[in-house]
Amino acid sequence: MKFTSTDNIEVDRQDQQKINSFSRLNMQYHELIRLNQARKDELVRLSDGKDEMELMDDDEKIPYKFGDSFIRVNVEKARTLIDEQVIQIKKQFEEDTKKIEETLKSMNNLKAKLYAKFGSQINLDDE
Amino acid sequence: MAEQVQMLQSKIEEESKLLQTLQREMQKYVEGRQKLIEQSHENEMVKKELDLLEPEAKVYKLIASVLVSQTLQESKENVSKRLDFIGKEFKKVEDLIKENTNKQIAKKTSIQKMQEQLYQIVQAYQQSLNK
Repeated sequence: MKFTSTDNIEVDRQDQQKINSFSRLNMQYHELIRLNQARKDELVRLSDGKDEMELMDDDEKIPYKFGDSFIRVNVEKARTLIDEQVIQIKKQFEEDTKKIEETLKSMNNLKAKLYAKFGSQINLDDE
Repeated sequence: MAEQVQMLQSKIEEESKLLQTLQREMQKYVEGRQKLIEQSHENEMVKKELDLLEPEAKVYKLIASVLVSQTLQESKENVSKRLDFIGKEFKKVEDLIKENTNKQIAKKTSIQKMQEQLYQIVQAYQQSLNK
């Protein structure tokens, strides 16, 4: 009589280190994704802000957020400030996009090794 | 007999995986529902504040880094629209939760039945060995 059984393969030190690394990379990956999504949303809002100012005169004053305070600036200045913010955010977005790629590469590398050894006894996908 | 057992076992595994998927789905729905409740509270508070204002009161809306001035009328309408939208989304997610709950119950029942079948088969076999 043959029942299906699962063989228990031993986890050695190196395996454990690989698993730990994978866990770290996985958390990093999710955090980077979260940050970039927040940046995307912020870019949309900044664009909305610019749209709202379209109908205003260049020398009208509008409160602009600096940290937790607001300073009245010219609409023209506000537009410039927004443009600067957009450049900053896009730069961070690009940098983290690269980091995400690298992180994914490392993760896939570890996945391949761990799946090769443990097969269905380990689950490294959680989407 | 061994074939039957293997078939049942793999079916049970299959159904269990589907159940897990349903449970993950449910978790997302519950999180979404919670977010909607928070948004609803927030907007209700804004609505209350706006209702307390005199018609000439100055209202501003924060869009990213700029404070844009709005009429009281505009802001009241915006909040009202938002609350409507949240209400609709809330009903949607509640329906999805209900549907998912029913699906989970059906799956659990089916898995249980198969486990009982499996148990009976193994029992019967063991008894036949003891004779």
